[in-house]
Amino acid sequence: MSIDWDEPETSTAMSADDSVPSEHIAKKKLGWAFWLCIGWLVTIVLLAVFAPVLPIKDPRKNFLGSGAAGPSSPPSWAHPFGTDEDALDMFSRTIWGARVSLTVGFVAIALGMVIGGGLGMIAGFVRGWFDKIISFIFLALLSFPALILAILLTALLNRSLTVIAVVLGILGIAPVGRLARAATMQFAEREFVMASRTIGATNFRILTRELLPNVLIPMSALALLGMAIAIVAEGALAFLGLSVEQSITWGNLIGRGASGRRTLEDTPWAAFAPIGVLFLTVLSLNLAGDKLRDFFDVKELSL
Amino acid sequence: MSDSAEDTVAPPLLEVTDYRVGFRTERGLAKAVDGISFTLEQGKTLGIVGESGSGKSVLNRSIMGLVASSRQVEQGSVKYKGQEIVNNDRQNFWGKDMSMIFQDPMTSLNPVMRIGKQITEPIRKHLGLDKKAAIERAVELLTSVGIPEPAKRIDQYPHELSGGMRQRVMIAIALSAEPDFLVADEPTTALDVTVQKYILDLLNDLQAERHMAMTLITHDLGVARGRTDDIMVMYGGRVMEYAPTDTLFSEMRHPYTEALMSSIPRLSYPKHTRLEPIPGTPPDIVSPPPGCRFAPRCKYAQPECIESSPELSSWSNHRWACFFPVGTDQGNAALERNEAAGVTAVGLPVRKREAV
Amino acid sequence: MAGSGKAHLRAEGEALLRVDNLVVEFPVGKGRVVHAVTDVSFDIIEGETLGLVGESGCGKSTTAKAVIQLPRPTGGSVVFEGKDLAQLKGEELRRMRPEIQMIFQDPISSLNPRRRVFDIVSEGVSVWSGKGDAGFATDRVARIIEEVGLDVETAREKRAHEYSGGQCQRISVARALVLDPKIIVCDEPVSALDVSVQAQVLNLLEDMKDRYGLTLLFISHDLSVVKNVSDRIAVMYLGKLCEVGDSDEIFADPAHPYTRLLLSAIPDADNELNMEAQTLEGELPSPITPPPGCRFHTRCPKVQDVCRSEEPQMASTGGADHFVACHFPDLVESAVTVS
Repeated sequence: MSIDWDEPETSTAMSADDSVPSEHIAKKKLGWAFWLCIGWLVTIVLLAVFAPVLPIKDPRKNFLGSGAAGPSSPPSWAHPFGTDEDALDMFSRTIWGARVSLTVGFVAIALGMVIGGGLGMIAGFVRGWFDKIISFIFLALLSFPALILAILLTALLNRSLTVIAVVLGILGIAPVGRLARAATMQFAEREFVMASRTIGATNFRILTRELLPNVLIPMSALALLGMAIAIVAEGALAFLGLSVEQSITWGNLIGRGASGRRTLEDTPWAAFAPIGVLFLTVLSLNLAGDKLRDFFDVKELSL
Repeated sequence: MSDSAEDTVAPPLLEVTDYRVGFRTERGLAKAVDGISFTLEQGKTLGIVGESGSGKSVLNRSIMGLVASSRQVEQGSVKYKGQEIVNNDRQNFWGKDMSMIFQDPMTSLNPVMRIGKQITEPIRKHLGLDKKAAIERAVELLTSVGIPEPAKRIDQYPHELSGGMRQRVMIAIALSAEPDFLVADEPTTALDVTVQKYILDLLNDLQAERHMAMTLITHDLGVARGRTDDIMVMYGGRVMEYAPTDTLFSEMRHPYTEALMSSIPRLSYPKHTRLEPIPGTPPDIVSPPPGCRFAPRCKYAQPECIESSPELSSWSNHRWACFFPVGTDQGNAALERNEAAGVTAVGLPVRKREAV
Repeated sequence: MAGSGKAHLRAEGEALLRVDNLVVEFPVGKGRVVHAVTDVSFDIIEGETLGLVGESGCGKSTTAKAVIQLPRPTGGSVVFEGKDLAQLKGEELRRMRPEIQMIFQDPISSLNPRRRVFDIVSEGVSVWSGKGDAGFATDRVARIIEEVGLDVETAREKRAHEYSGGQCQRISVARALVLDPKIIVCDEPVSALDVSVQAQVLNLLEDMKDRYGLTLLFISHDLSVVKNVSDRIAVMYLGKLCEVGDSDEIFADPAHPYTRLLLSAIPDADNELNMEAQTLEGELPSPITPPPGCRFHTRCPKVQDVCRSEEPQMASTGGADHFVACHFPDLVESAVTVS
């Protein structure tokens, strides 16, 4: 308790004007952990986007003979993540894998945001029979076993990038939609929406100008978490041999690296390199989502 | 002011000396209560009047040890029946010695617990009664706070009662272990005027009956008047004026008290009477103005008020912390100076009052 | 108070806003209905401030919302400039909206936390004006922001949560004024504010009323505040009007027993009625099954048999502008009061 009561203050300027009481300005900080996560995510995205032009090895070339490391070689300077049984460079494959995995995650959650978010907001705003129908659809989607739906659709259609992303996107519609609906209902009760009506704003204007900016915050926090889930789901599908065909994805890499006990024992790096990167990415998405939500929640309550 | 314990033999029920409560924030220490002293005798009511941010609630909650924050800093002395309690755990005082009722009875009652259980629990704990006796006592208590059909209410949940009824239940709970000191923190702010009157009357009666000491915290000077023995006017964590209730209203000395009074619409005013608001906003308690806390908004402010902070006078039971008290020669001179200049020492514009 | 009747209404053409037989009901399931407002009529003439007072549950806020048609009332008419708002179709009503604006109780909830204050205030202009006269609109918005006592540059940068409660109410006033309305409905505009700030906002409302020739419907539970700002007062109890009249007159000689009890409960330093020291007994009856006859009869100190069966109608008390719906009003002539 050795607090000096009258510690020197930085500013003792007096103001008789109606300036803002400064406790309202006190800014909440996102913290270093958030920025570390964002840093990691940005790095991964940049690596994925620029993979074709980066000075990394060809992910489909095997490094046999000619003084190369050969198959199943542990991490080295030449191959930071080692090579797998087929002498493929795990470092470049992990980076190339990010391209598909992140695309799947991004497209899936974008679909969830646009369709689920849109429907959810309209349902929460207009209420009535439309709300009842949409809420039922969301409920039905949530009740349907996700993995079975994914297996069913990939089996019926094909296993292209589009199908996988759309399938995961459909799974994202209900959770995002329900959140958007709940948030819309909560904000629609606030008096600023009524004020907007008394001004004469149209429903479309109220939805886009007044409600969307508010609903977008919890939605983007969920989107980050949803992207993490989609990426993990792609991994799970790959494990079942149902992810994007003939393509390098984190899921496929992990599936191959952990395809048998011998493989796992001989070349643990082939599985654990993509697992580690996936873990860090998912962790970053989750953490960033959490922090973002806390950040805006507090701000909401700051008066 | 602790030296004003003139001829009392027993120590006063509550003796607060240079009490400070701060909260560590990112910007520095928020001095919510900044050097407050007062004494409260058994059976007396002290009205604590102030606006939000004046520190009136923090003062009482801190005295009771209800602030559970690691960022709280407590300094000075609070003696309860002669025993120092600052920085001690006060939990064993709750109920039997000190009790509190809050502004919002809905949030201070447990919504999923029947009324009966919420009353009998403290009774059984503090008075050691068995279940049956405790229920009898609960019914008695509910009757004493004017709740009709108390035996029926015991099986109800808080949401089944009206706001005024819930506040009566809160009072019954607060009084269940017969405390000597009751803090009533804006007990009627959330209630309608007719219910407010009932609750205030009830508190008065119960207090007289039990010879209990009470602090009545309110932002409403009207509520404090007629319900209190003394009134303490707080602003920015400090006491501006302290006086016996009648004295305060008949000869208020502090410009803040005066400003507060003239900003309130009164029933005796004809319609469309222009109110005299207090300009500006409440002080920042992290980096308060160096002189008097009220100087930036005060129409009496002189250079002296910006430089140094006036101490609470201590020569009588009417005390004020002001260099230029209202209604005194210094005060009148200060106001005339400012009116002539059209501006206070802080730079606040002052308009000449129209002749009444 | 079960008062119905229209003796207190002024001549048809005189009023800017006239509310006739307003009924607002909310279904609560199982065929039951909350009778929030039942057969309420009042009018406001141009430039007047009508204060609507009553305790929680009396239906004053519901009445205010029914006037702006949010939600639309169950029955009755709200006639403004010869048009019954309750009958207007969606787009027609939307076109009328700028004429009647509203200021809400909760300074935080009534401002969008995600928008900058300047944008909030200029919302009305951007809803109603084309892109062409943007410059003029911006000037008007800036001028009004200054008029309500806020800094324009700060308003461009900051959001509502960075302002204090009193300043937020100023923002609300500015938002309403931008559309140059005829009527502003103020729903408990100062109840959430500290007393010193409350006076600032009340003075601001009076100033703006003078400057823009506004007509106000002012709703509050605080009788001292209502008395101060209103020309005329209507006292509500359980969905009905009980007393209407000049505000000084009502406060000087309350004729309805409920008004008397309400006034005597005000903790005010100079409250003469306070000496009567009567307490309002009992609880507010449920608005789902309101009492028959006079709605106040269950708690009235003067109740007689007729009160239980027959609803009193609005009638003049004999005062210049003073009407009461009570079978046994406290009239000035009959100094006999039953206590």
